[in-house]
Amino acid sequence: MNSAKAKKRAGRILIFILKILVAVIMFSPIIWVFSGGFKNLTEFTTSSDIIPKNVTLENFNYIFFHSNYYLYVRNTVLLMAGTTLGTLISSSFVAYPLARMEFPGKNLIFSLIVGTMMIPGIALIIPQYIMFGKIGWLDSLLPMIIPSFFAYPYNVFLFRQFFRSIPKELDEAATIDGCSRLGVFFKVLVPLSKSTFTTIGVLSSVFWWNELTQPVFYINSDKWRTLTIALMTTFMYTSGNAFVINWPSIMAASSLMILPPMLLYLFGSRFLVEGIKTSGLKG
Amino acid sequence: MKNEKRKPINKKKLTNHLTAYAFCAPWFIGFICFTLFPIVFMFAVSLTNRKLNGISNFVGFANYVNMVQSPTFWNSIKVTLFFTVVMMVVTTIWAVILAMLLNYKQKLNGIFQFCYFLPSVIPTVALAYTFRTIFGKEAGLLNAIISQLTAKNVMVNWLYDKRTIYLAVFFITLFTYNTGQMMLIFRSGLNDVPRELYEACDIDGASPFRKFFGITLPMISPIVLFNAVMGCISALNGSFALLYPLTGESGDPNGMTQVLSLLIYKEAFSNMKVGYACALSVVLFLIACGFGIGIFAVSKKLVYYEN
Amino acid sequence: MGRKKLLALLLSTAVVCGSLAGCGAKGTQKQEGSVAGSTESKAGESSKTDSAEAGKKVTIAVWNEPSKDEALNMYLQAGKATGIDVEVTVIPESDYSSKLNQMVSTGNDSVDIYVIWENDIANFAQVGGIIPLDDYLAKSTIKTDEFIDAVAKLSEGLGGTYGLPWCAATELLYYNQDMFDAAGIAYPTNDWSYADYKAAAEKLTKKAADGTTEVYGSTLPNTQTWWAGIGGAGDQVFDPAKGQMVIGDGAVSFVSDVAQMVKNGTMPEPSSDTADLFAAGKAAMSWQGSWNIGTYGGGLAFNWDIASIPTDKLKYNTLHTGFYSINAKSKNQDSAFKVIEYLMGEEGQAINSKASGNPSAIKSIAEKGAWKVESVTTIENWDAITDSLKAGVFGYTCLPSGVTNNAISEFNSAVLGQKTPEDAVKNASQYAKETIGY
Repeated sequence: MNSAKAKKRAGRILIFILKILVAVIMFSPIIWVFSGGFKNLTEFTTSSDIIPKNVTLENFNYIFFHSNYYLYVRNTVLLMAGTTLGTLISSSFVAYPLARMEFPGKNLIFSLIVGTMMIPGIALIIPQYIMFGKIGWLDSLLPMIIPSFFAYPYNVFLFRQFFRSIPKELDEAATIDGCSRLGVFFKVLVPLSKSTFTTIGVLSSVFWWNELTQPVFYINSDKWRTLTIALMTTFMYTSGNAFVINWPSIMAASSLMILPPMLLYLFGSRFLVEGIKTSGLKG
Repeated sequence: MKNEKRKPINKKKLTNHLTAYAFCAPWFIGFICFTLFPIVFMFAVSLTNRKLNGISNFVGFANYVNMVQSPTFWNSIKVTLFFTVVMMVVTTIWAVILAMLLNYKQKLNGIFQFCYFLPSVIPTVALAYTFRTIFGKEAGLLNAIISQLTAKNVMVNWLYDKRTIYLAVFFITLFTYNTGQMMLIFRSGLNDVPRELYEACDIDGASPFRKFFGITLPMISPIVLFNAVMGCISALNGSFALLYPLTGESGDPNGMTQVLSLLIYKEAFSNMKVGYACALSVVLFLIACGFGIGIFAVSKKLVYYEN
Repeated sequence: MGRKKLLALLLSTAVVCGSLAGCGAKGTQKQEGSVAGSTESKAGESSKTDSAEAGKKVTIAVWNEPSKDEALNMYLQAGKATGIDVEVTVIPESDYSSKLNQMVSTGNDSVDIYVIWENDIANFAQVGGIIPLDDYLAKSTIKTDEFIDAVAKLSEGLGGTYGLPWCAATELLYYNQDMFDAAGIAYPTNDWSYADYKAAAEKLTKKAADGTTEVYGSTLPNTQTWWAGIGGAGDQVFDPAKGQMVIGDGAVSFVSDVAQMVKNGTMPEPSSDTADLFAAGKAAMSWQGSWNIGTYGGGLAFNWDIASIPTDKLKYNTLHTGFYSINAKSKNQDSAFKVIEYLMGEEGQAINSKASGNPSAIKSIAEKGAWKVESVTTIENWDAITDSLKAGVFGYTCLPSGVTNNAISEFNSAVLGQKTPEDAVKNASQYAKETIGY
């Protein structure tokens, strides 16, 4: 009995050590980024110490006072806000009849939505690029914001699952009270699924804060650069030599980009973590 | 007489249907404009020699003929399939491991979850640059750590050596959003497995491995499927955001990481061969469809559903 | 009626939502405009007498950051001299050509002045993305008849002057004098042969006890100087008649040499955390563009000097320039030309030279020697630049960047031993043929 207990105890300690080890592996890149931002280029390229020998603020100084940093933040926030607003409105609208109403073609529509979820956006980005070029939307945020107002399949899918979990009796009662379908949607479903809206809103914001692919294709000039693009362009060659990457500058800009998701996790993990959990479980 | 009675019911039904369609209208417009039309348009452009500046002529299937004769293309297909499948498997396994570690109730689990999850919400482009320096040869963090541990001067060129490149790249995929998302989903999934099943197993004296493969895995198989689907899409879709800043449009070294999306970008924007890039996009589209059909076919056979 | 109402409502919400997004974007644009507008009126009031251009804004696209020293920032000085607000958009060298092509093909008007590379100017002129400057030039003081011959030749055949060369940069051998002194090797001269260079590189390499290199004899050629080595080994590199890349035996021999030097530890391998090992004091020699004289300035922790690129079969290095051109879609073409006029004038050219170390492409201005960067006190061999200019030709810069990037990726795999130099060169040529012939 005692030996079994000791064995169990040893197992617990082993697992704890394993957890610490994994935590070090998973978190070390973030520490590396934060420390790198305070190094100068020569130190960064010659030493791999975690704690900088000569702490310098030149990288942050450049970002805050000598670059268009605030413009990039504005663009990124506009992109996040526009797409999130769009997808919340349109996706919840589309999800409503799919969760609540019976009509011919419902199954077809639903399977088309699930089907389009499977198409990676990158496969269609070249024809879309030409299309948006023709209507003059390139080099702006419109190619990303406008489509979000026409429902993202994945978010429709999530909204549908959430709406189905709301008791049907509630809308029936509202209908008897004389509510139209639209009334039911706004007066019953929307208030009851506030947390769902927050969840999908948070997930969408995190996605667009981090999104690189679409801005790389659609944005050319400085005016509409997002932070992710700026990381690959503005903050990359600040050493003065157009052919030498200024790593510390990238690290400084990256650490600034990591902060918002980090704070979101620390102060709003309810929305982030719970949201992600539920987003996957309702399959 | 009868007609008069039935009419209002029909009308109500019709109204109901029309309302439903009206609600679906945003998706329908979006589907036509941003999915269906681009697909058709993509096929059309792939039959021309369109350049980036818009000049184009009909060339029939010349792009496809050139494509199948190009070793770069076949290499890229190989890399895409390999990358997608391996990334899907590696990230899923890692997510299950993380979730099981976190579900083992101990002190400080909150901090552990923070450490495990945070890397997945940082921008992939930042992740890529970070790992370019961690995996650097001269002053990289990893070489420094290994040198410290082994007391030898280790200089591995992780991202340029063909023996280590895949090791390095798939290691980096453990830090992507997809992995963190799966970890959280698996955590809830594992919590939902009924305790009684394990207790029955304990009485039989089953080993932890048998418990995992006998109970845990079958019980969470629907979630594994869902995650596999999402993982597959994100591997096809997200590989660009990771690999473009990491190994460049040519997929160094020696094209070993040149997935189709990188090749599409390179042909369209560095070489300005938009028509050819569309032909490549058609192939990527078909591959995605193939993966989708494949996963659902497999899932019908293997996945355990409660109902 | 009910459903019509509903449909109408839905449609109008969609439209409102759409326009909200549009407004969101446009609103801020307007705000920007109004801010600019207010500065415009202010500037207009304060300097009404200065110039009619006061308060106008001109955006210029370049691939490198302007100097942080205000006196050496030619764009800032151009703004001061003309009264025009000159804004710089930096697009990194790695996708500069690609982004410019996209902007031209979509009629983007956010940039007024493009600094266009050699390989793009003909195409941009052909599709009408940039305007001919002849009318402006007729009334201007820019000395177009004094361009150095190679540059003048490059602009021929376009049916007009579409761009003005902003400088004439060359490629040089940079070396760390302290390391040469310590090793007791004579400094490189402009007559150095390629064999001299290789021998010195070997001697300058310092290895640790376990065989790893601590100080490299030379850095790896960079994206520009690969072509100097290949051209020097006898390849034509660029065939102007066909617009094709021509590499063969020369490339094979140079790539093999580099691969051998990397294998010996004399040169570093290509690596993901690319760094300037010469500036960091970890390499004794480096082949780089002349513009690095200005970048390094007095900022290196050791004594250094320059020499011509060592001569293999022939003396070869690539000339570099960029062409100031005006976007055909620009709304401020007159102001844009005023800015270009300043940048091409004595003062603008002198500041550019002082900041970068690149001589002017205008002979009479170059002769004044502003390119002898003052902050660099250790350079004695300024003749290296005039010497290199004489040997310089327009080569790889006339090829599409996708082709040259692909070739360098191929060379790197050969250097890493992943394929033979012969295969790398063959693949690169094959890829170039497919791409240029498309």
